[in-house]
Amino acid sequence: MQRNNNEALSTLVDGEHGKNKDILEDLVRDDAMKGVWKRYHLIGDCLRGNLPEKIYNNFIIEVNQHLKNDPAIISHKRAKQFKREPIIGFAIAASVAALAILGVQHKNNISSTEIKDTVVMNESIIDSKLETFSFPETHIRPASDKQSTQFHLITEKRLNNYLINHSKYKHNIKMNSVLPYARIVTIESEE
Amino acid sequence: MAENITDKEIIERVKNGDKNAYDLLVLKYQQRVINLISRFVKNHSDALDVSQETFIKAYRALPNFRGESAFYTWLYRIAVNTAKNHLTVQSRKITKSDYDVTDIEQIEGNMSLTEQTTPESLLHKDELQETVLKTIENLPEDLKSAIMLREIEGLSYEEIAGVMDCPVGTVRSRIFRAREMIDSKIKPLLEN
Repeated sequence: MQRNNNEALSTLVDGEHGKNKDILEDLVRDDAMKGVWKRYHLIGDCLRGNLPEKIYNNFIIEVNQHLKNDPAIISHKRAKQFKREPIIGFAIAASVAALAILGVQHKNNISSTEIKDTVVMNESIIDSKLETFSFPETHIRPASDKQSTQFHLITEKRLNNYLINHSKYKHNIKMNSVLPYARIVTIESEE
Repeated sequence: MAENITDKEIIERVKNGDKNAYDLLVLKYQQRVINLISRFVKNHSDALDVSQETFIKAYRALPNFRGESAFYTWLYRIAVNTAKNHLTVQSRKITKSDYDVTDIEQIEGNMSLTEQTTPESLLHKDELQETVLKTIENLPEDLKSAIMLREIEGLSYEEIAGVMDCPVGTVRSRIFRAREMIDSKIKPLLEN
């Protein structure tokens, strides 16, 4: 059993263990196996001329002594969060952009109906063959009160929706206040 | 290199909260790191301290290691920077202090005392090297070739199987038997 374990350990030292994950599991838990792991690497270092002048036996004990108060690293959750953050950031940016486009389009629709009215008016002037010359009545009329209130209501509703969405997701993306502009959250680079 | 597969698996474990797995990286790379740092820091006791600091820094920085380079390349950079920082701090200390000749003699005396305090935990590399080489010389030819091709030439099991014209399973077994025989000779030296 011990011999089989050490043979598997020898393949692990060389990175030739394939799909045998159990050996690493055993090695982490077993101090005697760690001793074998250390000596097998020592043999390799010796043959490659990588040894220092003096071999110190208690090195690992002292490193562990310094690290005993350090917490274990848990980066799995963090990595997951990082994967999600850009998506949320992008979604917010996209919705803001969509809102802006819709708003501009709506405004354009209103002004284009006004322009259309004026154009029709001008055509009727041409059709009248200029029998009598007179300036056409100015039809640049302000948007009706009803239309204006409707437009404001829609805009307000959209803004409210945006604020509700923002307050829902602001904890996930660590935003403390309303952003003055859209921002895409990206993963921080290594080192 | 195939060894990096093992490193990646170990790092994955450490990053998932298995602090014990970090021991494997320290045990694997300690000699190489101490050897590297000894080229910068001549005092053996200081070199050991700087090497320990390297592994401590590496553990704390491990969440930022994304495996774009080999683990040893990354560790090497930390080791060199730590050694250079140590030398800078030392040179500042020396220029700032007013030591006279007797002080320096005393300091040097203390350093050698520090080195002599733990003779049992130190083994000279020549002793170990001699034992390893002597054992390899006495190994059967097929075991000797297999371990040399692996450790010195860095060939994979498949490549060694091609060179030695034998199955991969035989290569695995030969390398293991060679290691086992060398280990039986060095283990008492390290324990003593």
